[in-house]
Amino acid sequence: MVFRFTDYHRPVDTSQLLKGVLDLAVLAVLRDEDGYGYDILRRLRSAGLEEVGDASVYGTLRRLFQAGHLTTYVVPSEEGPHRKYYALNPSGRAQLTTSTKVWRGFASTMDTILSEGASA
Amino acid sequence: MNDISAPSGTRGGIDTYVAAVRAALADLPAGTRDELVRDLPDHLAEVAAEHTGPLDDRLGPPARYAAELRAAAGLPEPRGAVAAPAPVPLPTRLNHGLGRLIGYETFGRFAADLRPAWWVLRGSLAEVLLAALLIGAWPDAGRLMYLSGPVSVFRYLLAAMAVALPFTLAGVLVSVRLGRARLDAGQRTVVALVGLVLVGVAIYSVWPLAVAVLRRGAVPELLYWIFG
Repeated sequence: MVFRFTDYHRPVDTSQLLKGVLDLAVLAVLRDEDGYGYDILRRLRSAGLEEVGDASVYGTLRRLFQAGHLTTYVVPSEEGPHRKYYALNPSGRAQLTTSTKVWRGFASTMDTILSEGASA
Repeated sequence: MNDISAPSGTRGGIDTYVAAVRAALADLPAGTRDELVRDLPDHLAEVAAEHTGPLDDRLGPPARYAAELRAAAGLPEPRGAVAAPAPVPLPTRLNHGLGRLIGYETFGRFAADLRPAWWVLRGSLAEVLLAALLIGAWPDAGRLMYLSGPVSVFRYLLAAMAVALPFTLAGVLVSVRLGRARLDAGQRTVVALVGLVLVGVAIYSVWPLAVAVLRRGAVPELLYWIFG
């Protein structure tokens, strides 16, 4: 189990980097399959984003919903809670595509800067 | 792993946490606040099902959770009155302070990591004691003091441990099983008391021996035997 809040001796702090791209990460994990809050959190963590905070994910979900990129629906269940599922709508898919391009461009630019910086 | 008897994972603990988060979001309009908090009880229930221990250990204090939630939701930070953080009670401060001293977020996390070691110790003590009672194999501390110096004592204890090993293993298995079981508060109290008694008996039995070893200035001799 990942206890992100207690990883006190983590050598590299990626939380600052993460703040800018959490929107993109959330949209991306919803691309192929809808998910509910904790499920989305788990997907992000098991994909490697161990630093991501619970509150950040839930807040991001709300913001994306407010921005009109997500739809929600409730799945009733006899045992356990009714779960609110999030799904990408067309606007969300468009946003995912655009943001992905922006990210790839930015990552490529950073790679250039880093490699030129090292050799300078 | 899923020990749900930890108090803060219960309905009461969840309600407390949710109420505290709501309080930290009090400056927001009621509708927004309700929206932000609506998923929180289910979220906390999932967290409680996966992790033992207080919710704070896993998610941080409610005020910080609320701040992170509103920031990620794109809402403005509270102004003025909410600026000063609530005073943190001493047990919580100790928990965090002591923990940081040893590189843990909280001391509670460290204690949780140590639990399996306690289970092993408890099981070993139980079985050694049982073996002693049943086979009269428990070294008589008084008699041991007449052995010729620390070397033979050390060897004696090692030999005794080796003989006791199968029994110890059995005891450890039972102890670990107990540790991982879901017990109610009454059962846990009984188990804790038994553990205390075991430790008390062990200390009582070994105390004269420890005193004797130290009094004879035997520790340096023992170290020489080990390393010399």
